[in-house]
Amino acid sequence: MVTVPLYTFFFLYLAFLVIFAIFSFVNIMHIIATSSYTLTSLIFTLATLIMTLFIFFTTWQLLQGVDWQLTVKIFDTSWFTNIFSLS
Amino acid sequence: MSADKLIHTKKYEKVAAQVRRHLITYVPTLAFFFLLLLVPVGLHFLIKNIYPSLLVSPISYPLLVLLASIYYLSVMLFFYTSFVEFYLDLHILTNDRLVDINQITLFARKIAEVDLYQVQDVSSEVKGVFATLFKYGNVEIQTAGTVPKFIMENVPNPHQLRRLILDLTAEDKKHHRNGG
Repeated sequence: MVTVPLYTFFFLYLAFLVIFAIFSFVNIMHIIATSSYTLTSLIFTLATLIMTLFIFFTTWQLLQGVDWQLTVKIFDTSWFTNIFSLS
Repeated sequence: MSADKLIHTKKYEKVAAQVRRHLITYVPTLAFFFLLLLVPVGLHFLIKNIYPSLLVSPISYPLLVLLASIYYLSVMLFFYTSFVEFYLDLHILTNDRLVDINQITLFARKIAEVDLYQVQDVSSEVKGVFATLFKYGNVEIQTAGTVPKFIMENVPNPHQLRRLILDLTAEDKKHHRNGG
């Protein structure tokens, strides 16, 4: 049986956030570097930023009170031992 | 960075127009993204009715929250990336040349340019109900350069743009004939 603590998935989420931040930064640099820094692009960038911050805030709110020390079973041999039995 | 620095304008060169696709053509993409934002909401009601224990379990609940957060952030990232790819398609018209910047994907950009004296024919087209209402369409430019045809898609006021290109082309050809 293989178990991992629940906070493992939180660290995976943080790794995703790093990738998200990198690509978001690349997008913003593209806009600045190509003379596309206009009112329209500013509005879209701000709208995206506000919605992203709202997602972060809502995620943080919903995860209040979670016990991250709990363990999650990700593999157990008993899932497969009785697959081919007739009874 | 301004358009002048972006295309390294020469001393006598002036930017006459910077043209992007009409914003109304991005509305279908916007509508699609709003639909994508509703998917977790629908899934929430589905899970609430079929497997309500998943929403209260101390293991599955935080996992579902993290999954939903990753989904929404991915949608935001794809939305912003698609906007950048849409908005960075830019045509810069000067009194000397036409520069066509095409952002293919986030890490792929194609730039083509043609001197105006090489322009042979310019045509403009407005086709469809929305295009007529919102005054956008295509401008097609035939050239004698390396790139034989430039197409400016879904640009605002294409007929006015066609006249501007023709006027600037005539001026540039006169300038070249006079040996300037």
